[in-house]
Amino acid sequence: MKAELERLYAQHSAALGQALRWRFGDGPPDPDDAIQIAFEKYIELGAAARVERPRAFLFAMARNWMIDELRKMGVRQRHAERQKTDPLLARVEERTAENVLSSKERFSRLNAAIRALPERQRTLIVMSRIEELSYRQIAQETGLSQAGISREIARALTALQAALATDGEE
Amino acid sequence: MSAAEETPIATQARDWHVRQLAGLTPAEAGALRDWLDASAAHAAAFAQVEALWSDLGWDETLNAQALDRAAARERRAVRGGGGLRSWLRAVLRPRRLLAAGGAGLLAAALALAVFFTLPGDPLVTAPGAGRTQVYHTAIGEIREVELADGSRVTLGGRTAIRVDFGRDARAVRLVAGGDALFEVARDESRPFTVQAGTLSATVLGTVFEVNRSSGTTAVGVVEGRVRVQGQGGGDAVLQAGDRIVAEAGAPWQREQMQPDQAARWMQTRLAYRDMPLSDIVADVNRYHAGGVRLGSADLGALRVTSSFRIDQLETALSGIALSHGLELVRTGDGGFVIRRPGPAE
Repeated sequence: MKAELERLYAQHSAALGQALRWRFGDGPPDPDDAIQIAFEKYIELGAAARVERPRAFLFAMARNWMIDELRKMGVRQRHAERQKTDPLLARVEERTAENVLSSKERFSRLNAAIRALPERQRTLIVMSRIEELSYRQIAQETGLSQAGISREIARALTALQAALATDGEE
Repeated sequence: MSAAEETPIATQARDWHVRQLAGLTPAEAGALRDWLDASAAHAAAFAQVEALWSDLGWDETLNAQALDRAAARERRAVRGGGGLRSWLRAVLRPRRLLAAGGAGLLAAALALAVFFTLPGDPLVTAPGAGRTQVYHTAIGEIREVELADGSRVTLGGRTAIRVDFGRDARAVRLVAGGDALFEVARDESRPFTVQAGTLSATVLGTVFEVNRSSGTTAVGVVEGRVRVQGQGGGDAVLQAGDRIVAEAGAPWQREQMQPDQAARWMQTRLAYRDMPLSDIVADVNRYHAGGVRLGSADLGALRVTSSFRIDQLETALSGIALSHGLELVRTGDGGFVIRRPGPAE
């Protein structure tokens, strides 16, 4: 396990750090801490056996930890305006690595639906949800209008909700 | 409102969600609040979209795509110039090797990382030949030394180098297994050569690294040019991004260097899964000068899972203590004690 971890760390830590720094800057919170936490979580959960793409999973954990820390610190960066406008919306990402894994069924269904999305919609979701770019930034990179971005993301969400509703009886 | 299969409410909730992503004006935020308050069904539909949006943050496909995009940006940055330099600075930042000297130093220096994993020749202390110096470290120790010419060397654990500075040459040889990172002061009249395994690398330009492990030696150039010569007669000048891997009895392999391949040992990381605390304490004590002690011997049998970098030692120890209901106490000499919490005060 130690060797496996070392291999994982050697392979991915630089890319994870780069992606986190690009998104959050050098901190605080320190992206290196986020990576450490992500690896600790990964070990705790015994995730190696269950996670198909450890790198993406580690990134998700590290990124979500960064966001949590930023919120705790009151440094809200890009979340700022959004959360100021409506405190109702301030609650995001209560999901933790643990309950992500516990609801693995839902996530694998969701993942299948995500992979079935048109490339463009998926990329828009990556930019908005994962990279947390503003519509203006997304418009700059893609050339789409902000209304077009809204429309595409709404369509993608419709498809995802439909996939979750039909496949899962609940 | 009639109940359709896919209710208009769900559509409205999604519309509100994407509008909110775009950023709401105060008036819009008020309208959203009114809409949410108007019915529990509104609030539930909205919560559903929000939960979905939150879940997307964990999706492996989306995260993988984000990482690929980040990697593509990094490649563009490298091609655009300055990328390797900033990468190098990022790699070195934790040790503050270059930070101290500032940008000017970087331009006038070369950084050279030599990686050994095999125990090498026995360490022979040089006879009193004035200019010859030997530096070595114990297992796990990381140490920075300054050489006579102003160059600095960071030695990883169980490493020994022999430094011979002469009138017209500066020669460094790795004489035992281990790792070393060189930040070499420029001196055109005295080329700087590092001998590692079967290769020797001579500085022509600025930044490069050398790796050696079980029979394989590699030289990779980060910036500028480096001349590499092999015992078998090989001779090449490498440019930034080039890397040569030499294996005994095989032709040299030329490849592109990945930015994350260098100086990894400097971020020495310890990882444990279900190991006795006593093992961890023993390892840590190779790195931490102050030392870590256990309040009572039986604590050594506790099973621990953790992974941390040496420079995060204190955080890691307090995490370990916390998760076992123990406490971490600093001692006067810079060490730590992990013990059962005593009565209050």
